[in-house]
Amino acid sequence: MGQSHLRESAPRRVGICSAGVPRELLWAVGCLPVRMFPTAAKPTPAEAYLPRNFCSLTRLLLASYLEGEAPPLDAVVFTDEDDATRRLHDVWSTCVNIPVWGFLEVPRSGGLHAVRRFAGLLARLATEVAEHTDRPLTPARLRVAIELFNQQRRLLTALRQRWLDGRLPTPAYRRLRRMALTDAPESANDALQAALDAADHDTTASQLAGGDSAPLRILLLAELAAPASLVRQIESNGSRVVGEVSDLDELSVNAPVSSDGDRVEEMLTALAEAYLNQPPGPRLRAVSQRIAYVTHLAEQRAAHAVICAYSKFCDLYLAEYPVLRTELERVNRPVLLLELEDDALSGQHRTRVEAFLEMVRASEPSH
Amino acid sequence: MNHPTDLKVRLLKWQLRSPLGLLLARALLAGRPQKPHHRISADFFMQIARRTYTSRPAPVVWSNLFMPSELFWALGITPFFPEAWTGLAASMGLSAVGLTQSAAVGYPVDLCTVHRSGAGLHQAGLFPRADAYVSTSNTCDVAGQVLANFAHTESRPFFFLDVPQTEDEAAVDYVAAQLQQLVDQWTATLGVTYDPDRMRQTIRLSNQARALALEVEHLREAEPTPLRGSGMLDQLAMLTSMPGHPVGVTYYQALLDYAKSRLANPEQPTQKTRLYWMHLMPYFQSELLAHLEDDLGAAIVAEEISHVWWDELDEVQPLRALARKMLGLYFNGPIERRVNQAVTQIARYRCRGAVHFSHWGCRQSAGALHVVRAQLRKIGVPLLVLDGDCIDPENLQLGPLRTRVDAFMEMLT
Repeated sequence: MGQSHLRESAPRRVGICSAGVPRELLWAVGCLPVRMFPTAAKPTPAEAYLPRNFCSLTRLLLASYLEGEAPPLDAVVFTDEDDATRRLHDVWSTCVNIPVWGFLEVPRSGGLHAVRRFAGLLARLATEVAEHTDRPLTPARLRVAIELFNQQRRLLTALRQRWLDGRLPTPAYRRLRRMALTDAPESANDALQAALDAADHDTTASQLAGGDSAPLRILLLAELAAPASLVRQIESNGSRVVGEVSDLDELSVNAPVSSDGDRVEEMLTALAEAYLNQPPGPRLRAVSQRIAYVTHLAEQRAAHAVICAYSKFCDLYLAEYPVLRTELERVNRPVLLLELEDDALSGQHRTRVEAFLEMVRASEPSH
Repeated sequence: MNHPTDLKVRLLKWQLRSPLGLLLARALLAGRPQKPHHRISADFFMQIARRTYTSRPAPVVWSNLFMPSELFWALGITPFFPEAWTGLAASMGLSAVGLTQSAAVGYPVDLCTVHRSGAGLHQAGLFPRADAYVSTSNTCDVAGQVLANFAHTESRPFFFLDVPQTEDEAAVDYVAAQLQQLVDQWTATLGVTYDPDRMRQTIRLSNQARALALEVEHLREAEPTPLRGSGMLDQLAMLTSMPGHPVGVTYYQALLDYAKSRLANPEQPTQKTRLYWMHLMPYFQSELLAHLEDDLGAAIVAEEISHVWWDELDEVQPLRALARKMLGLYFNGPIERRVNQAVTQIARYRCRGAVHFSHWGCRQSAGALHVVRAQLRKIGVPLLVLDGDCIDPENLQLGPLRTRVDAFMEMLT
C-alpha cells in the first residue's frame, strides 16, 4: 500500500471478458480491470443483435449492458476467446455506448513462440490503453501491479484452503472470489485479508462442511462461474461443492508471477508465460491435458461426482463434453450436464440435479 | 430384422473399404452424365477414398477445412477433411445416421450438425482411420474440438495451429513457426519427408490452379452469367483440398473451359436479378435453390465461399506464404473483413441483393449478421437471412423459406 504515489488519478474501469487478460497490465496503465458478469435476468434484449441460438452467456452479457443494469464501465477490452466473444466484439460498438480500447489475441498454447508473441501483444495493448489513460507502462508501475495481484493470489489460495477445510461457507468464498475479479485490488486485498482473519478465528467452522458427517462431494465445471442457485441446491441437499473449474476459481493464474527484472519486457514475458500456462480450459483443445487436470482435481478433492453447468450453445465446452464425460466415468465419477439459458435453474434442471445426487448417493457405499 | 438404414450403412462400409467396391462406384459415376469438371472432381475424391479407406499408400491426416492443402500434398500426406465428407454424406441421405450416432456418444444436440454428423459417421465406422489429426483455431470452434476429441480417444497425434486474427508480419512469423513445428512433428511421427523441391512444385501447382480459378471468377461477371450459382456452392471443398495437387490445375482448367463454352448459352436461361450468396447451402436434396433460380429467376452470380481469397503464393518462402493464406481468410478476424469482401464482390458482380444461408449451429457465420446487414444497407443492398441447415433435412423448413425468398425477390424486382 506504500506505492500510492505511483497512482496519479482514479483508475478507469475497463471491462474484460476473459481470464486470459492479465489484470496486472491494465492496472499498471491506470485501469481497474473489471471482469464482466451478466446482470440481466434474460438474454432477450440481445436477440436484436445476436442470434437466439448463440452462447447464452454472451447474450446475457450483451443484454446486461443494453439494459444499462450492469456496473458502469469506461471502456472494454475484448479477446479472441472463442467465436462467441469475437462476434460480441463485432456487434458491441454498434449497440453499446462503451468504447472498445483494445482487442487482445490470446495464443492457444504455452510454448516459446506463443509466449514471445503474447508478450509483444501485451506491450501493444498497454500502449493502446495508455493513450486513453495518459499513464504509460513503466517497469516500476508494472512491478507494483504484479506484486499487488500476487498478494491477491496468495490470499485467495489461503481462502480456498479455509473453504475446503470447512472454515468458510461456499457462498461467502464465491462472493470473495467474484469481488477479487471486479473490485480494485487494494481494497479487495484488504477485504480478503479480513475474511481470512475471520475464518481463522471462527470456532464454529467445522460445522460448515455439510449436514451429515460424510456429504457427497461435487466438483463443478462451468465457463465463467456456476450459477449460485445450483450451488445452493447442491449444498441444501446435504452435498458439498469441493471445487469449481471455472474462470471464477480454478481457471486462473494461481501461482505468483515473477516481477524480477529491470525491464518491462522481462515482466511482460513472465506475465505471458503465467497466463498462457493457466490450468487448461477447452479453448486450448489440449484434451488429454485438460482431462488429466480435471480427473486429478476430482481425485485430489475426493469428489464423488461432477456437474457440468454450461451455458446453452456454448460450443467449446459442449463439444468437449462427450470425451470428458467418458474419461470421468472411467474413473468412477458420474457426470451430469446442465445446459443453462441464464443464472436461474428451471424446475426441470432442479429435478435433474436432485435425481443425479440421489443416484450418486445410492451408488456410493458410504452413503 | 435389420433397419434399411443399417443395410445401407453396411453396404457403404463394404464399398468404401473394398477396392472392388470403389471400382464399382467409380464405374457407376462414369456412366452418369456429368460436366467435365465434375468428372474430374468425382475422380479426385474417389482417389482420396481409395487412398484413405483401402490402399493407404501414405499417412492419412484428418484436418479441418482451413489447413492449406499444399502442406499435405508437399509432404505426401493424404488429407481427409471430415467437414467436406459430411456434406457428401448428406447428399447421400446419411445425415440421420451421423446425427443419431453422435447423440448416442453424448454430443449435445445444439452443436453444429456438420460436426455432429461427422462425429457420428466416424463412430458408425463410415470414415477412414486417421494416422494423425490437425486443426486450425480460426473460423470455427467446434471443428478443432471434435478433431482433438478423436485424437485423444484414438491416442493419435494432434496439432492445433493457432491462427491470429490480425494479418501483420508478426502474425505471419508466428503462424510460419507453427507450420514448421507441424512439419517437424509429421516428419518425426508419420515417416514423411520434407523435400523443398517438392514443396516448390506444390506451390507452383497451387498458383496455376489459383490463376485459373480467378479467370472463372472473371467470366462470371458477364451478363447473363454463364454458370448456375447453385452448381458452384460446393466450391469450398475444391478450393480447400485441390490447391497444390495436379488435379487442381486440371479441374480449374476444365471449369474455365466449361464456363467459356456457356457464355453464349448460360446454364440458367432466365436471369432477372443478380444475387450474392453468403455462407453455405443445403447439401441434401432440397428444392430451395431450384425455386430461387428457376421459378423466380434469381441468378446467384458470386458466392462468398467460392472466392479465391489469397494472393499468389511465394515459392521461395512457402511456409510464410501458406501462413499468409491462412491469415487472409475472410472468416478470420473481425466481421469487417467479410463485409468488405461482400461489398467488393457485390459491386464487381453488380448484385442487387444478398442472401445469407445461416446454417444451424454455425455461430461464427451467423453471429454478427446484424453488422453485415447494416453495412450492406449503406450501399443499398438488402440482405435476406435464411435460417436452415446444410446437413439435416429435418431442420430445413422449406415452406417458410419459400415465402421469405418470394417476398425478397418481389421486393427486389
